[in-house]
Amino acid sequence: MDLTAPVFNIQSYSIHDGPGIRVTVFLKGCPLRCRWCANPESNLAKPQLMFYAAKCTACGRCIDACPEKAILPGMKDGKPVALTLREKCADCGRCAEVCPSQAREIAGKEMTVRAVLDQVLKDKLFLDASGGGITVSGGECLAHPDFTEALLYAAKEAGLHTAAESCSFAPEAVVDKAFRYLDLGLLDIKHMDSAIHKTLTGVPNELILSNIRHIYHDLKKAVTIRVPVIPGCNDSDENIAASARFVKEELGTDVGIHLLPYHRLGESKNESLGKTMDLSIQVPSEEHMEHLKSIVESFGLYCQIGG
Amino acid sequence: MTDRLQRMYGRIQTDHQHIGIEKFKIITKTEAECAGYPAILRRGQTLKNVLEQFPIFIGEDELFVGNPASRPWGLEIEAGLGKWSKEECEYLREDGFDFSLEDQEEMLRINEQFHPFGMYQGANLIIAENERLDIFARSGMMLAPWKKDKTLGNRVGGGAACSGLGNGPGWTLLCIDFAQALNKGLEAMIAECDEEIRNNRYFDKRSFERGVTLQAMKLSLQGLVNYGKRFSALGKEMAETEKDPRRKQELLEISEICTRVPALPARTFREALQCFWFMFMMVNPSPTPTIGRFDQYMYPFYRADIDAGRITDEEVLELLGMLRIRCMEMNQQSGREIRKRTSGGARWMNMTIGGQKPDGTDACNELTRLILRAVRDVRTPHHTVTLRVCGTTPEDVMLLALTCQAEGCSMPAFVGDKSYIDYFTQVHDPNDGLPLEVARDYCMTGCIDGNVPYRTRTMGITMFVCPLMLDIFMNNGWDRNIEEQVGHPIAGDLSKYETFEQFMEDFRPEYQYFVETAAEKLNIESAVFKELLPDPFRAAFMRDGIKSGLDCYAQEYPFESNQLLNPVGMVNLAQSLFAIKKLCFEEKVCTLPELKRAMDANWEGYEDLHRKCLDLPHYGNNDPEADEMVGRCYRWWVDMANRIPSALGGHFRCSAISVTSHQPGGALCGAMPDGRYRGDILADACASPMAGCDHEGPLAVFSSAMHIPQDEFQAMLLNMKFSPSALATDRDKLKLASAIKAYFSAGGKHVQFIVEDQETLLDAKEHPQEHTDLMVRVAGYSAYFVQLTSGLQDEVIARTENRQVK
Repeated sequence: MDLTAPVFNIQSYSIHDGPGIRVTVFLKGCPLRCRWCANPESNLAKPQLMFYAAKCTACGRCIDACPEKAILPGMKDGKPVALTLREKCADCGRCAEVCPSQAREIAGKEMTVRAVLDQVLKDKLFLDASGGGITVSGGECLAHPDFTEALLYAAKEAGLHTAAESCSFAPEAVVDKAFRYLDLGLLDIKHMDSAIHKTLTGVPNELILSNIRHIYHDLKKAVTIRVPVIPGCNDSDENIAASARFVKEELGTDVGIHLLPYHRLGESKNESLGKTMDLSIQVPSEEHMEHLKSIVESFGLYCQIGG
Repeated sequence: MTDRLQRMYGRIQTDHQHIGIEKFKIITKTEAECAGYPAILRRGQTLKNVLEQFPIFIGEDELFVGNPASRPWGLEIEAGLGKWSKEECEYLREDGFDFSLEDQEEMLRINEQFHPFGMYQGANLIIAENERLDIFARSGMMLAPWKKDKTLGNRVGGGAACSGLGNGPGWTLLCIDFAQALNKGLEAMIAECDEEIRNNRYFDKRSFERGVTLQAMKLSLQGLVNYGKRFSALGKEMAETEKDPRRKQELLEISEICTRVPALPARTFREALQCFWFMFMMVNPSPTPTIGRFDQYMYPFYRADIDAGRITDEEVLELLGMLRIRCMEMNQQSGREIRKRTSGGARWMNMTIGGQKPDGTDACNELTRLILRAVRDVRTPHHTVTLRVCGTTPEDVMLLALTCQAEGCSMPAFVGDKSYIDYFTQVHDPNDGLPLEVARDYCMTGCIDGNVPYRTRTMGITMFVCPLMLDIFMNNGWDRNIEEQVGHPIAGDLSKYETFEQFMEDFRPEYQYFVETAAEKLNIESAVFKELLPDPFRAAFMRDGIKSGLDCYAQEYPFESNQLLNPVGMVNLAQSLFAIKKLCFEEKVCTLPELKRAMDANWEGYEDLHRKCLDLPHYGNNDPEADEMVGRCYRWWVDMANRIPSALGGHFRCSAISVTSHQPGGALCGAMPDGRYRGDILADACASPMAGCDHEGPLAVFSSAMHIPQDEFQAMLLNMKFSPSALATDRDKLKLASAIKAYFSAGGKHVQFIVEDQETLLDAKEHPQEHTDLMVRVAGYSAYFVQLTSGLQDEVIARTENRQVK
């Protein structure tokens, strides 16, 4: 219960991350670098400063507070703000402590299994009533296998259904450990072509697909496959069909597919981290989503749009 | 919507309403003729004369008839509730009402000879002569503030203009026994009156009262029977000249139905609906005309018609849609001050559906579902619908209800059977506690105030501005708005408090004094009502109404909830106390006098301290410490209220609705330690967090609200805002349904949603003409967003929106 991991959010009333109402625990740190990532603050395991220029009133308190002298007066979108020089910033968070307008915050704090579970259990009445439970997400929970194992074990002890959202990119032994107390895996397939997968996410897909087979067949876990639908990246009819074929032929027809339409809600987060988002990616239309859904269904598989 | 409903919907009028004086003329003439008679007899005769003389017409496309005003979509000057001054008449025209100068002159002429002695005059009789109460009334702690000029007969707002044929002003929360009218017919009830009149022996002290009350009941019932007959004749007459053969047939049917009801028992759904409408016009005017458990008392007629093949579901759906449109004809307007307070034409015609039957089995039926379909079909803010939810409420009904919500219908509201039933069965003293099977029959009267149809009733309710108590207490009893000593000089030098509990020890008696004073004022007002404004019609349709021969103010009931103490802005008061506790006594960030200086400066120059107030945990985030303070303040309220005797019998009870009082209430309060600025709006509803102060999602709000002793309240309003993305699919809706059921199973009383995107609301504020049909829930009632005052629009926009990503 005293194991810790960097947590950047515990989301109550999550209704798209598994059956029923769930509390989703977002861990920081991910081995993939997907071009469309909606949670860019989850990439690195270390705490990171997020700065929302729109909220900054240029009061200057952070400038005095910064031990690295990494903050300077500057301009953003025509208004004066306090700008952080990212290369000097140590993500220590002093600036966030003194900021009066919540323009600065530190994403990620080390939390123990006990602390996380306590917060999750605040909603137990609702989780039980809806047939829900806890979902571990990220980042990537496999980046913290000991913590994930301990958290899911403790959750099961407390009577909760357990789920994990995962990219399945880790050595098999890590998967075995992390998912020992898992009830349901919500496993991503981002592209069926390994080379393209590497271009889009930074890693190839062989290990991922083999882990998915392992989780389903050997660990005998319930599994749902999730495909983030990213126009121009993986939304071709062929790729969706290939994903469905993989599920049908290498897993089973009891495994459903969730098609998750790309959204842009990560945009302001990217900006707050001093990153830019690939704005060339468009949000897929409802018709397109329905079309892709029909492709999956043509394989005799259950498919839904959204989680 | 059928073509007929489309046409009727297009005729809905929410502004430029016509103001008529037809009812006013009949009433003032009758009052003059009956001068000196007992009040109830005068009021009975008034009803009869109105029903026999008021102009009637049958509107185009109507399938059930009865016009609540002399012109379509009109209002009638109300005689019993204050006089309209010339100035207020001009305000009416300025605000877009259609009130002819000719009628105005005639009304003012009648006013010169007619001196109604209404509620305000009656209450003023006592209050003007009692300095303590007078100052309290003027402080506005119990809204609305009274004017200083004691010579004015009417110290609040102007007069009233309403639609409906009953006795005004109808400020009651009760549900009459509609089923009795439907199943027995009014002639049978008249016969019962005759029998009681015959059997009344004149020995006991109430025998005279019974004698005249029964006569008054009979007059009102006879009036309504005759009203039906007038429509029977009119329908026939209009059919003779009608060219369209279909309409001709319809008019003949209307005529036939009105030959039957309300005199005789209804036999079909159409007859029952017609009878209901006649009855419903008699509980109007009222801001709270209750429809009750329509899906229960109308069901036998629906079932019989369906079984006999006399009607189809689509036909019933059209009639239910028509009822929605026709309810929009029931309006109520008052002087400019009150118009501001009840933003967006606030009124509460509540139809309750679902829940349990008295035997505990589930009450949902086909009519329940058709009513919800009518809500989706016909988008009107009135009548509103409340769905009672219990463990057995079917999934498809929950889904249908949340689909209405997701589509922006802003109804139904959801209420939890458990907490309401526990409220009625709880025992505080030997007279308390209804049998379970009786309590299970409760319905919404008013916004979400529960009452058991025709067995319990509420006659008075306060809108009490809680944070003002602390404001005045910290100013040593001084009210800065009226610049007078409203409270007691207790606090004095604030630096004397060494612990928070010392502070609370001093505050509690002052809290109690204000609550008791509000109760006194309400007792006076209710006594005036009892004396001056009895209602023989409603009385006849209460439990044992005719048998007892007593007015509903005079009769005592097995469960007395006749007067309610209702706090507004309790969350702000509690959060302010919490801030004092944390900042001045625990963390010692500042001293109490410093905090007071910051409040006096409206936070100017105290930005750091202001930030610290805002950064404290707030109620609504499942923070046990912050939530507990809200719980404590509400428990105080309950403890005090339940000990105060009510002038109508029993003791006071509690309710917690804000209506729109969080705006004028906020206007009276200075800057508070919760971080509010001077004059800003207060938290809406009564279990809702302060707008924008909840950050942990809807489950945290539910969990926080469980710290309130909700079973002790006749209502406990909770509003939530969801983005449509959180209710996009049936899966999403069923998850919310399970959360609602869980909240109710844990003692939650009510929840109501606004499902609109922030962007839509912002755009509607800027471009009202493009969003004329956008409906939102304000605080227990639905209204067109664009008709709300700017302050309330901002409050709705500022409420935290619960979003979901797919």
